[in-house]
Amino acid sequence: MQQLRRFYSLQANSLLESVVALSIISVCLYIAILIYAAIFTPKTSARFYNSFNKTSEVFFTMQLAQDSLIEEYDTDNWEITDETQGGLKKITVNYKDILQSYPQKSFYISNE
Amino acid sequence: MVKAHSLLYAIYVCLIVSLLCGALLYIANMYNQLNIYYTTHEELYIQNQSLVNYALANPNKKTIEIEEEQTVGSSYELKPYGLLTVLTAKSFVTNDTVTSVHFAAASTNDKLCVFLTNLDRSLSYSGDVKLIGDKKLPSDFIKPIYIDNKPNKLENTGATSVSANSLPDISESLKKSFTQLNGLKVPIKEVPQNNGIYYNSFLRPTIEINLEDPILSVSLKGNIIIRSSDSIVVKSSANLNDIILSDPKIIFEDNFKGTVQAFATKKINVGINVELGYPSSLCINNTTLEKSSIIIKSNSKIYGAIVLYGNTTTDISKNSVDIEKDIILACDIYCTGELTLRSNVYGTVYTNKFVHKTASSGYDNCLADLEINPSKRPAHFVSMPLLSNNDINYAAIKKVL
Repeated sequence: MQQLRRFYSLQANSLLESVVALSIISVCLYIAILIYAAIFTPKTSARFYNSFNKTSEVFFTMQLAQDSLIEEYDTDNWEITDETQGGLKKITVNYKDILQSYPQKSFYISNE
Repeated sequence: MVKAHSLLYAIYVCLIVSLLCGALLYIANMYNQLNIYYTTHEELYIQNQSLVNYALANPNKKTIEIEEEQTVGSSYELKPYGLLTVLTAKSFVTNDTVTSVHFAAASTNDKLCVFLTNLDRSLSYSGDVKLIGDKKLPSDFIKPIYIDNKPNKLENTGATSVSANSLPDISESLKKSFTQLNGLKVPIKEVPQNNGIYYNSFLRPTIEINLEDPILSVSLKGNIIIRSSDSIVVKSSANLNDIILSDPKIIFEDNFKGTVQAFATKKINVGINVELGYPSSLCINNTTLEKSSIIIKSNSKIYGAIVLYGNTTTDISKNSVDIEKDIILACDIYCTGELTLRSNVYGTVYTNKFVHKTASSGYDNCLADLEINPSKRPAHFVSMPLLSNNDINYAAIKKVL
């Protein structure tokens, strides 16, 4: 019994101590979650860049063959407007998918 | 009384979490910076190509003129370089610039096959002759001539109309390009060198090198004009890219390969098996009463233009273009003198006079065993701006930077 008492010499923490410790940890976790949320936004996902590049792809496909490829973009997700200015065509591209819409792009291609 | 036991653990937890958060922030920051770098560069390159398209359609402006504000700034300029125009296009954001340089030329939709000035004889043919496309000839009948008892066969498509008694005017830019051939005079030793190639960028002013020795056997690339006192002999070991040669006499030795614009006043000789890549040109401007000639030997390849002009109609016989057999001519030919043609031409031919010579005699305005077919020009081929026209639509020929 003497030995047992010697081993059980740990003292119980006070309630106040536990409350302070928990609040410190919760504040810390709160900040951690805020940081996590700020970093992993839809704008930084790989999927965003993948879709974002699709609007750039339009420029290159339009340069190659305007008429034959325009049907490929004839869906609800794409909104492509062209404006003829003499020997030039200004193309404005808007793209959206189920989650979000992407920045608008505009560029010039020659009007052959 | 607060005991610091579990508080210590709380601080440990905080420390670990903050370390993780710090690492996350750091990585995210790197990721963002890299992505911003890539996307701005990609955007700059796309906008630069778009700017080139815009500049080719609006050669008289300096920048894209639209009302809305643009994230990517732009500026461009066009300046002459021999027969061609150099288009320098810059796209920029705050601290990044993408610059591209293209060779461009006013694009013409010239589907004309042959223009023969209405001076004396009408056009005749001998052997197997193909003339594809519209023609302007002294008379609309092309009569056969029987030489050496060979059978005659003429494939003639396109409309034929009666030609004027002078060739269409040569473009102002071509006339100017003879007088505007000058730059900063620099000795060849001071030109920057890389792997044995002397190179001057198109972003820098044109430089002019005066050769002391007429023999040219070095490697040169870019924005350079070469001159000599009397003549230039281009050795087959020379490696010339996008260079202008300007001298009274220019001689290309056998087996030379390169992309060159040659401007002479007396003589251009092209040896056997020479390849002048696209866009090359051979030009003679002879306003004197002396003789001038362009001679192209067999097995050569010329992609671009061959021009001889300056003489009056009374001096036709003193100026000649002589083209031997088995030459690939993907080019337009403009000749105010006599043109001796023995190879197929994939382009347009303008001349005051055709000459066909056999061992025994010569025939004026006669075409023998050849094809003139502008529709066989390669798809990417933009004709050099030889004639004056008001077309201001430019087309890009080649990216040089």
